[in-house]
Amino acid sequence: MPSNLSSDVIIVGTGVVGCLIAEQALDAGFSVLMLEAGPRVSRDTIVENYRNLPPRLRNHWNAPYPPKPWAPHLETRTESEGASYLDLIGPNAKAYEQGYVRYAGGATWHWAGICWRMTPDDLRLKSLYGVGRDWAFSYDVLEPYYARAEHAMGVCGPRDPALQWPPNTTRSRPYPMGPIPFGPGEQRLTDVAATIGMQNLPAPQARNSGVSFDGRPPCCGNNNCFPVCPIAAKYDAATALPRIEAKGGKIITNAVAYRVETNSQKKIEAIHYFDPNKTSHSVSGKIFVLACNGIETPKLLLLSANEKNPHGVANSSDQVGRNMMDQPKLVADVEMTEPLWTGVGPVQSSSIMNTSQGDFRRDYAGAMFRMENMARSTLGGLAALEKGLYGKALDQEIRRLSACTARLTVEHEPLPLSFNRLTLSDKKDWLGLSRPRIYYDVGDYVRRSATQYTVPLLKKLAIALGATDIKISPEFLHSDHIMGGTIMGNDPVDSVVDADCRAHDHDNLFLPGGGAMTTGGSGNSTITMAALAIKAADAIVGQLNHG
Amino acid sequence: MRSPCTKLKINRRRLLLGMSALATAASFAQSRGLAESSGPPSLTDPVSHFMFVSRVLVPHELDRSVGHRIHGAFSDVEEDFDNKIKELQDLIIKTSPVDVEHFMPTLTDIKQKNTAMKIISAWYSGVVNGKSKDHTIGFESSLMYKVTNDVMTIPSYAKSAPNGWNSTAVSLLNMPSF
Ligand SMILES: Cc1cc2nc3c(=O)[nH]c(=O)nc-3n(C[C@H](O)[C@H](O)[C@H](O)COP(=O)(O)OP(=O)(O)OC[C@H]3O[C@@H](n4cnc5c(N)ncnc54)[C@H](O)[C@@H]3O)c2cc1C
Ligand code: SF4
Repeated sequence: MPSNLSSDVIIVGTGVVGCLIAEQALDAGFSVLMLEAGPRVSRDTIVENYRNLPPRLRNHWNAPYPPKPWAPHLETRTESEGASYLDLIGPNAKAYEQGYVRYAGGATWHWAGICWRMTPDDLRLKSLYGVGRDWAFSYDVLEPYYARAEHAMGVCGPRDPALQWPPNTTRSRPYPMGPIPFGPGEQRLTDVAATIGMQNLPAPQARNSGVSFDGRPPCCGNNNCFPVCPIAAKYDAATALPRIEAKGGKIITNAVAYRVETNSQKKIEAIHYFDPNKTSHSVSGKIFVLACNGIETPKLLLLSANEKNPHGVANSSDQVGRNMMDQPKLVADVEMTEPLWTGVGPVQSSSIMNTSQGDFRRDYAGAMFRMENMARSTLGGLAALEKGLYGKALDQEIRRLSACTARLTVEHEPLPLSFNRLTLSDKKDWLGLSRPRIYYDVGDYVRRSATQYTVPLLKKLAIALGATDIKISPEFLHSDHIMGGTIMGNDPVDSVVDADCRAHDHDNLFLPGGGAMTTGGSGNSTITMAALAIKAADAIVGQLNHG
Repeated sequence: MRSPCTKLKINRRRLLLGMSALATAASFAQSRGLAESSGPPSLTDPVSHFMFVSRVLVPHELDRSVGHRIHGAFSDVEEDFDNKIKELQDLIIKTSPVDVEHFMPTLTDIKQKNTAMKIISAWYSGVVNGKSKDHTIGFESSLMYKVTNDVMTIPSYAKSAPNGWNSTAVSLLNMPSF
């Protein structure tokens, strides 16, 4: 039977962005109802799914999360699965194969937890270097929200200011926990990088370092942060769901929002959703938050087009779905004579950030370099078996391939380019809703960076590590940080949301998260999404208190 | 039936391992026999034959319960699997190899060699590849993880106490025994 529930705040999406806002609104005394497209699944089910995968699929981070028919997400196990949801086109379609999962808790289930803040310069690309856009505010405005996000998610990091990022800035609060120790691979990378002027920093990461935090245990180095931390030592939004319910929040899972309804005063009045029986329901409220991520939020706005909103909801600027960004990534698989031994500690724990800043950004993109710290025993084991070895030779080759190989990556800062655009595909999903079609071209700014700057530097780093063989990916890949599709700006003519992630067109609609990011920077973006969510939550609470 | 061990001239360690395999197989079958009061004699148990062959192909301690699962998966996906095992077993008895390094070159029949390699692969990777699907028969028991387990975590299993690891690099030559 169709239902119509109501609440002060309606939030679509139970990822980190939705959950941070839900908790803040509940703490301020407002009622919250969350709609979640996907199922709610226990941690042990996901761990079991992972362990039951054949080893060749264990590096497909989405494989332990089979999607429900009504909430599809990209799957990568086979080519045909890969093409079955996101309709990707353009010269760099592969660089937009975003690996989010539509499960309650969202993509932090299988994120690595790395939390690099953007720098003051990252927010002023236009005025400093004449490229991209400037943000609606400066770093000083964002800084306190970063600090709150770090404490909300439990981000550990170094106490020594010389090892903190961004450099030469003041932090309003220290990290809630100290750094995670390096294993042999990351220490070696740090030492070697220093010899060629690259500073490998201990990464701030949403992982409990040495102590329990927020009711979650300390990290024990299970090295399984993606696809799932078996003990929840790494923050994921699924851990927030019981707390939200304990505070009185209501969560409806398997509820796929498909239409946002506006009234004659340009206010949002209701959200309509389908349940798994394809029955439509609606929810009404005072404030509406779309926190479905940088692809699903613009898709939902475009799906809501009608006579009142001919280009989709919140889209008088025609910017909804444009400026899609992610950090285009290149990887180098390297082989060395000496053992490096990745796989000790978390799957990622450090990055080289000083390569992301500088005057060269006038001409080409800055970039972050890092090394995957995943245990390579699965890869080494399968590769050695492939060679037809047995006995002692097999053991020696597994050990060698596991210890003496590594994957280095370089992630380039993207520019907001209006031609990188999400539209509605004519291909439909199980519910009959249009799938997202995304055109993606990394652009000359990134291509120039790769040829003139990052690939030569990547090779130099690999050689300094003692590489005897270097294989660089032939094309750009995705970094899984979805940004730009509901871009923030002060001018309603060329942006979708204001500095609080409020839609310019509808004052009771908030679109926080990656979509709002004006530029992408080189580092992992979720901490910025979380900071924007907290800023939006302040505005929502303020608006409810005064309205 | 004659024990497959009787004609073997294999080294002492292998012999002991082989004997203990058969002893385990016998006691397993006996206890089953007692419980069921009937059943095949111990050495017709196909898993025992499979373990016997496996112990020559894979020079490590092998867990019979894992072997049971690997054997079950192969029996599902390979036609006539027990006969293939019997052929390998007969060859082992005939050639009395010192170890797998000596045994593999004696396999001139490509089909026999493939069967041997598939068995080795299953013990190491924990998977038996079928035509339409893969059968995962083990995770932490996969031997490929044991080769590096002095340093690397078996993914999803805890390595140490909180923050209890360090950056010491271990020599490649320190092969764990397992
Ligand atoms: C393998 C991997 C590793 C990563 N590692 C890092 C990292 O180290 N650092 C970092 O900063 N970032 C990382 N990320 C990115 C990070 O996971 C995302 O940026 C972050 O999870 C986004 O949060 P979100 O709340 O905006 O969206 P999501 O987490 O995607 O949550 C959105 C929620 O909305 C729901 N939803 C979607 N559509 C609808 C609908 N129509 N109706 C109802 N509900 C809907 C979804 O099911 C989902 O639960 C990684 C991502 C991946 C895939
Ligand atoms: S290393 Fe292990 S315990 Fe630590 S966060 Fe990753 S998966 Fe969790």
